[in-house]
Amino acid sequence: MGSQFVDLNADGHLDYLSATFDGSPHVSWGGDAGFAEPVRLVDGAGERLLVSSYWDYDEEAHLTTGRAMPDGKPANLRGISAVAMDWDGDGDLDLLQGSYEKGHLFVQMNEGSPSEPRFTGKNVRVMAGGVPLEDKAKMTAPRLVDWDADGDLDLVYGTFGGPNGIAGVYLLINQGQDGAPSFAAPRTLLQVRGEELPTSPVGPVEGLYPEVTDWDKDGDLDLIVGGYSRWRAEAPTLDAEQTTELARLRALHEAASSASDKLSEAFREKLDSEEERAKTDEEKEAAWDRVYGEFKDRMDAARKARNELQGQIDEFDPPKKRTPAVWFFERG
Amino acid sequence: MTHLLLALAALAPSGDVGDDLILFKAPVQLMAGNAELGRRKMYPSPAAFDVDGDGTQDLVLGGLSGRVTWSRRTADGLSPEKPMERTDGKQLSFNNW
Repeated sequence: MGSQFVDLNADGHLDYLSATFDGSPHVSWGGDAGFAEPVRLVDGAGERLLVSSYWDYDEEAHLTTGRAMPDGKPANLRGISAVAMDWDGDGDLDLLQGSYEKGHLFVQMNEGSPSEPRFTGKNVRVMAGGVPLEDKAKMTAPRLVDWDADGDLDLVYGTFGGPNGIAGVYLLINQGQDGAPSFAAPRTLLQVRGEELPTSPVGPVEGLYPEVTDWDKDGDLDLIVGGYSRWRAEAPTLDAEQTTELARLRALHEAASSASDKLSEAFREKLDSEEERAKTDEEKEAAWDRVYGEFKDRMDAARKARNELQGQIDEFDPPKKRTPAVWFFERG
Repeated sequence: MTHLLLALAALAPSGDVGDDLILFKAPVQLMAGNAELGRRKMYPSPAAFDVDGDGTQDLVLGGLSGRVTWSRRTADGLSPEKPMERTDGKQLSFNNW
């Protein structure tokens, strides 16, 4: 989820606008006492805002609809980010939604008033450099900021990276006029080259969620970037005795893993057999309680033994890590 | 050890900021108190916002779960991360599937 603090209903209080993987923008209305419980934003017809894919809470399923798409056709595009800006210069805030898949960005107009937003329910693709914006590395979230201090809002967005591309943070300069934004082609602010694992979490390489602000208060804009680093602590040089010990620990770990797996299998088999005999849901629940009670302590102990051995192995042979964190990138 | 990050700018065909490189220094991991900021989050997403109204931007942190935390910025740095509260005292949380 990205986050934007913006006065979406012109009541003088900043609201908290976000969107999540359920596919829709949400707002937590701000007031004198703080932020209220978030609600989903709806269009003029009362339908939840979205791009195309969404989680349906009633059906408990991932569904897709074309109702908000420019061509009316459903697509595998899930809106997971939202920011508001006055796109058409009519004094109220319109809504931008970014899709996880393909990194598309859509704008939806507000036909209501500043104090009573009424969104059209129809998205239009945002262009960058004369073509519809797309990023195969998947968009995390866009940010709005006047990067070049010319009085209009520019766009900065991050990407997830991973199998579909390199993660990065990109800038789209707004070259348009008031009420008619026009974004230039993306410029790279950060890009990640992750060929070699460092020995500490030196920086994000996946899921780059950028914030743009003058964090060090030196008059230029810096980046604060959340994401994942991939790293592996430096492996110690082992002497002969330690090498033997590592081999011993690995053998013990293999045996402990096997014992733990067998126990889980035995638990599952006994549970299946007792549940088969159960005639009612209550009897099934009772069977689960009985069998789980019988196995729980032994399964816990087996898992603990395996994990302790893994911890000892890791000291000799550090594992690859993928850890979340937040980094400050000072403008150079 | 090789730094993973190449902080550089692609050449832009045109733009108000010109074609010069936009450079950033090597990243510095942010700490909140003694702990790494965002270490308990999945996909931490920061937003600068003055939560306590003291005139200084704090850091609000979203994530995949939708549960929001924040870290107060003081002269000594960022304070330990804590849940961001709603008006009813519960943690601010955006629904996820």
